Amino acid sequence: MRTIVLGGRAPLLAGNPVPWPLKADTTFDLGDLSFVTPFDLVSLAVLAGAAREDLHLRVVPPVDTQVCAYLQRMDLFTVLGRRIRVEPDLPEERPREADRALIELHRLEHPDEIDDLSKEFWPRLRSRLPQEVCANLFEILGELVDNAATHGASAAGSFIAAQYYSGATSGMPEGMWIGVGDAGIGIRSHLAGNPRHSGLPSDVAAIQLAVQKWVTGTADRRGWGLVKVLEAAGEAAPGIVVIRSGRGEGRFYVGPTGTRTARYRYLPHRTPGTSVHVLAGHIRSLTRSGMWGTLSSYSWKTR
Amino acid sequence: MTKHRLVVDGPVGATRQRGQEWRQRLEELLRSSAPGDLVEVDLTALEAMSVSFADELIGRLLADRLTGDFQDRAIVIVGGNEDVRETLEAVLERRDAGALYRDRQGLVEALAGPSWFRETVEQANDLREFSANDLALRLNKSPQAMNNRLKQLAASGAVLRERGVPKGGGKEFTYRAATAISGA
Repeated sequence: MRTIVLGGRAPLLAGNPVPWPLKADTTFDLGDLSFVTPFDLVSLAVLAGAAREDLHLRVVPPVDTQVCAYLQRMDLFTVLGRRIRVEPDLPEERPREADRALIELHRLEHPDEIDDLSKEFWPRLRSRLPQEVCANLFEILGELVDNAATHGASAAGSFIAAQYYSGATSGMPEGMWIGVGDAGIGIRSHLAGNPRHSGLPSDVAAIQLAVQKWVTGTADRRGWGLVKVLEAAGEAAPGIVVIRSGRGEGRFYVGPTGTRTARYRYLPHRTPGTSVHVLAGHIRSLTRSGMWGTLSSYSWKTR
Repeated sequence: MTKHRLVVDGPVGATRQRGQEWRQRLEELLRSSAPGDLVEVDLTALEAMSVSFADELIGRLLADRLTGDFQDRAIVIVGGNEDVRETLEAVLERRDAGALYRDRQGLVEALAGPSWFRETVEQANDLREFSANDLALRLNKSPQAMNNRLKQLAASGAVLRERGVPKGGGKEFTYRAATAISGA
């Protein structure tokens, strides 16, 4: 059995994707995990959900009881269910605070399940957060799960999770952190469905194209989904969007005035489908350099 | 003249798929209505709406109406909060379309559309029932230019177009402002 260690802070968002596809029985060792983002949760769920059914998957839960309790609170083990074996056993889950500003990990078979989930989550989130933050969250989720269904349709479904961080305990920039992932064909193959965008040389090129207006893999007059996600991420304050698809990654700083700075890179491993991280910022005073500095140290150095 | 209402379920319209489902219900409502009727799209239950949802529900409906579908039925969008209004406006602008919008206070306005849209709707509302020539005279435009505007106005649902038979024979369209319909 192969072991993949996912430790430290936000290992899947901060580091590289794990080698994919999984070719042998695999243990995901979360023992040293100290901080996890919604992106990490959905990425792990995609890995488990899209792995070959004949493979045995095992998860070693975090040693840190707070982190383990958080994974339980976010329903990671519930959503992964019978697909994984957890060893050693999980502790009994702590009582839940019903009004926490988060959306637990969910697996969606159809995108419009998010419309139905809003009935449950809108009142909870609105009891803690301003109207515009909640509206922004659901607009972003709506666009991303639509995309996941369009270019990500797979038996694994798509996964979502979100949490509002005040930064008080996490030390991270304040705002709504959102993760959406799928195990579908990816952005490059999706765009190839439109003759205008067939033959793109790389996944990075596909991501570069996909964040432009009116770019779509369909025949319809569409192509605003990711553009709107980028706008929404920076609407109230500086935000960050990370898009991973295939072997490409784009990281975008977006400012309230519509400014956008992008960094692209080629990933050492292919990621299954497409995964997106959004930090919809909520501190107006945070500067672009401050945001990049915080996220750079967080994203590529902190382990 | 009957008023129909489609109440869109809240609190959030998030996905293109759900927007499409609501548009199909709206099209059914339009089909089951009669010429001269008013159809209200009630968004007051929505706290938030994504661009894709709004585009699928309203944007595509208005685009389809440009080809002539249901132009003898008026449409008024009944608004929710400012977020919803802004998203709707953004979607309409991207399609270079306009719509008639009524806010929670009952004020009716022409939303988005080409530069001439608002002024033309206001004059149409003032005339209530009119021919293309009547409106052309009001706005000091040629009948041809006015026909082009009226085509978009009818597609938006702000006016409804009805075929009449003039005294001399042939065919002629008459128009009625949506606000002239009782309850609009």
